[in-house]
Amino acid sequence: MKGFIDPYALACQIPMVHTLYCPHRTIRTISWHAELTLAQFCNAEGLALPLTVNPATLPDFHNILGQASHLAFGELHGHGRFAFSQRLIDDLDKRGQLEGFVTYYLGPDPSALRYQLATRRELQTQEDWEASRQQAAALRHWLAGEPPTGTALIAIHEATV
Amino acid sequence: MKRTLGYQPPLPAGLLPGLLAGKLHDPYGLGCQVVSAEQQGRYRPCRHTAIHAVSLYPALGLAQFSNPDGLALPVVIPDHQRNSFEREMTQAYARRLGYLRGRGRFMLRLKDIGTGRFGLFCPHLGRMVEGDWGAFVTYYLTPDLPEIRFLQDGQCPYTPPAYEGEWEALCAERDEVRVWLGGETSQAPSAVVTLPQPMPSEEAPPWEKAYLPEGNNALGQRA
Repeated sequence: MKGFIDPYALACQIPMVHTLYCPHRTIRTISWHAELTLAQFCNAEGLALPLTVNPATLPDFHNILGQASHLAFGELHGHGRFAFSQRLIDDLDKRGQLEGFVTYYLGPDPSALRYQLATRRELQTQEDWEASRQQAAALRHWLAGEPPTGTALIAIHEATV
Repeated sequence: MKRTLGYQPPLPAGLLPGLLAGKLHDPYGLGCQVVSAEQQGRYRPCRHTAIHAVSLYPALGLAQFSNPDGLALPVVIPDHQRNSFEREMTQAYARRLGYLRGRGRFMLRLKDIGTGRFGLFCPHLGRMVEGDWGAFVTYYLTPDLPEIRFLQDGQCPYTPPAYEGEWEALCAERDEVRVWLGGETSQAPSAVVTLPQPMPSEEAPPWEKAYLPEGNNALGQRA
């Protein structure tokens, strides 16, 4: 995806109609501080995603922001393992720079979207479906910074959505 | 001093090795490389310097490469290549979230400070920075296939007996590299050789002379 870097290869994406949807890795909000070039990407649950803005493709990032359905001024969203540290937030607050964040909402209301990890052809059995659900749940725990539910390898070809 | 190793690794082939070509720096010249899953020809990579996996901590810019046996390799990602390197990790064969792989002489020296966090001295900032053990990700760059053959596997891949002795010497040399990577000895691999120093009486070769202005010494000072 142009405009941001996904160093953990989680296949995070901006929500689009008629595409596979996983709530844990779909970007719902971007809190952006244009002056400090700080960005925090979050999913629908508010868990911060480990994404960073690619400075080389800043125009593409601005294009993503241009697709926002609505904005919230002076708000910084996100919690979990990859959220900004409390020390940074306190520091920004002391300097009065916390108000400089604008949160952009992307895509439709998540409650209108149905979880769909893979196509029907790829999930032929009930076990396949259950395995994909468990994998997505493990990702959610990891993003939240909760104790891991398993340490099994997650193959890239199974994790792409 | 010139560091030379007798074994020159083959050029990497295949998708991922090609994508990562030029994005890694091997400061010790050990011939560390990503092994192609589709081996062609008679050349075989060295098992001890094959890059099997890389553990990344993107927010702190940490990267630890490791070979199939789990020994950390002294390979670094140049800063200007970091973004493109991370982008290519979507081509990795597998990944493990919240996992740091690698041990030995070149492993990252991280201090466990409890509650799932570690401390690391950052020379750029001149202070300790903290990180989250769970925020590491390990990418496997080589498939775990028994078909992959290394230099040390089986017998000499060349036509015996002419190359048998040479192959054994190479294996012995690479084994010294393995011991060194493991930090089991302070002894560096013996392939590090000292170039003969020129005698003071020897004249400079003509191609060096040509760059010296008339009457000046090598530092450009008037004699």
